[in-house]
Amino acid sequence: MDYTILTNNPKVNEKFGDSHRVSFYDVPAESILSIAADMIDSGCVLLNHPLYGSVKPNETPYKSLLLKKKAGTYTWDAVSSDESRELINKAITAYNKFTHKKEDTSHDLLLDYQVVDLSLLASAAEAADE
Amino acid sequence: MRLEIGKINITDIRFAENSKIENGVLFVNPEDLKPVVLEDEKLKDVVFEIAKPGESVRITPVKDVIEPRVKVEGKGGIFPGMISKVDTVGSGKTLALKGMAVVTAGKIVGFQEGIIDMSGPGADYTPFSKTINLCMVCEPVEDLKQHDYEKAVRMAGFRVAAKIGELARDIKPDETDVFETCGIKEGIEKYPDLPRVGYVSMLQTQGLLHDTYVYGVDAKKIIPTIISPTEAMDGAIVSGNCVSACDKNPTYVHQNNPVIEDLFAQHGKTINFVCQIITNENVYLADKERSSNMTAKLCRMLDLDGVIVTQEGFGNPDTDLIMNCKKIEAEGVKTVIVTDEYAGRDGKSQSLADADPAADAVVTGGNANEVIILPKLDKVIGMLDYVNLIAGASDKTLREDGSLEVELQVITGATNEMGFGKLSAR
Repeated sequence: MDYTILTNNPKVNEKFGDSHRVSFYDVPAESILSIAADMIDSGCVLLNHPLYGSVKPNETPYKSLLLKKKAGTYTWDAVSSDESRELINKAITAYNKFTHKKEDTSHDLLLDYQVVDLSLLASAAEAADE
Repeated sequence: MRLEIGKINITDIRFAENSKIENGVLFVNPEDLKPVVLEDEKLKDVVFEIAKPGESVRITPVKDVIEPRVKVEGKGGIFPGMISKVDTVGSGKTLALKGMAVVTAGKIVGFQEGIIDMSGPGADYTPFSKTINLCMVCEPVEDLKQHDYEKAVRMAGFRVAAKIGELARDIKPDETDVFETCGIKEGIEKYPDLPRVGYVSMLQTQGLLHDTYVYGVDAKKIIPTIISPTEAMDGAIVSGNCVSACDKNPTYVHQNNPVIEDLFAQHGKTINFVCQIITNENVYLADKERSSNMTAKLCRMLDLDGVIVTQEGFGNPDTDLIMNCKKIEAEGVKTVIVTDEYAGRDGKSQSLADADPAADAVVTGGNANEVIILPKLDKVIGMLDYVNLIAGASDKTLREDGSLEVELQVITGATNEMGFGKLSAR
């Protein structure tokens, strides 16, 4: 595995913690985007789309991203650092657009959000591991 | 390929002792349908209810909407690869029950979406307030995982639709439409002066609750390919997508895809409708690059002059939409894209999560963030427990007087990105 899973979703940490490199932060989803932006600025590229899922940004509190170091010899990146940064910027803009936040965060609902976030992340990780 | 769709107009649905179709009325005994649902041991119970246009009824949370059909001539069966053998469909004769739908409902995840109001202001926004709906609310066994529940309800809906469709096998249709595509060479010879037009249909394929199946294959695993549009009309593409009620494409919309119908209406007159190209909307960026490259290449190889591109969903799929548009245009093929907008409650924000100057011909299905008040209705089919949680709703959604303050996002089909609804934006 040459990539890092950046996440605030405990289920992702639980599932991938032993087999993958996971950076888990107990922070809001917006902060995950900011941390990803910093990682891109210091030489990483994105592997999955930051606005994955049709769960709108103002609802799910979870965000899980795959990032790897920029390509070296005989490797390639789907998107460049600049393109990665642009995707993150657009995602941050999309988050800011959805100002009408939901207050309801019952335990069951949080678990549902975690499951869906995990599934979407797993879908990307599976493609990355192929 | 030549497909005849025989339309049987259904004017009423009634519960009765004997299931049958007579003079346009569907009589159905729920006890005949229950075993078809409960043969899946993951489902504990199912309740059938009928919702008619104009009634004070709210259906929620809606999962899928399906048109019952039966294949009477030609290869294949209903929903090949899902509940019938994987024969190639799209030719022969299929009978469709028009004016009605099977609607599946049930709590799959807390924020699973979809409201269909059969009357009031909400009814104007959903195409499924105009159909007589046979609703099935499925209850899972204890501790069933979300993805197992989704699959169980999805497949049960297809089985029920097929079982009902079977009642129409020997009925003479009220009218018959014929759709015919030609081979590549035949089309060039037959319509040498007409522009060659294709349809690029982007299928939702992000993961759990965001999936589409083509002949039973999870479309996130495909690379873009060509199909005859009659295959899609004949049930080759089905929805496994639960989320984003307003702009998801229920199975019913794949069966009755308005882009395909309109292109066929012009086929041989103003255009030569060559084929449908199916592609996906994966979350992995390399998949996006690969799929959009292949789609653009297919458009070029088929010597298309123009394509219509439709998407499903918001955010991540906007990137695929723009990548497809940009790369297809770069091959010298004109594009028109069909989407909807998340332009904020005031309609002033950037509508899509991505954009490009090549996207200079856009059809919009409306602004999904627009706020609407849905008055209290007398009856709920399904449950209101989750209505505060669905996308486009908030903790303030369910108001004291029982009315709902929501964004159009919550209404099934409101801003459909195949243009199935009537909404647009100014």
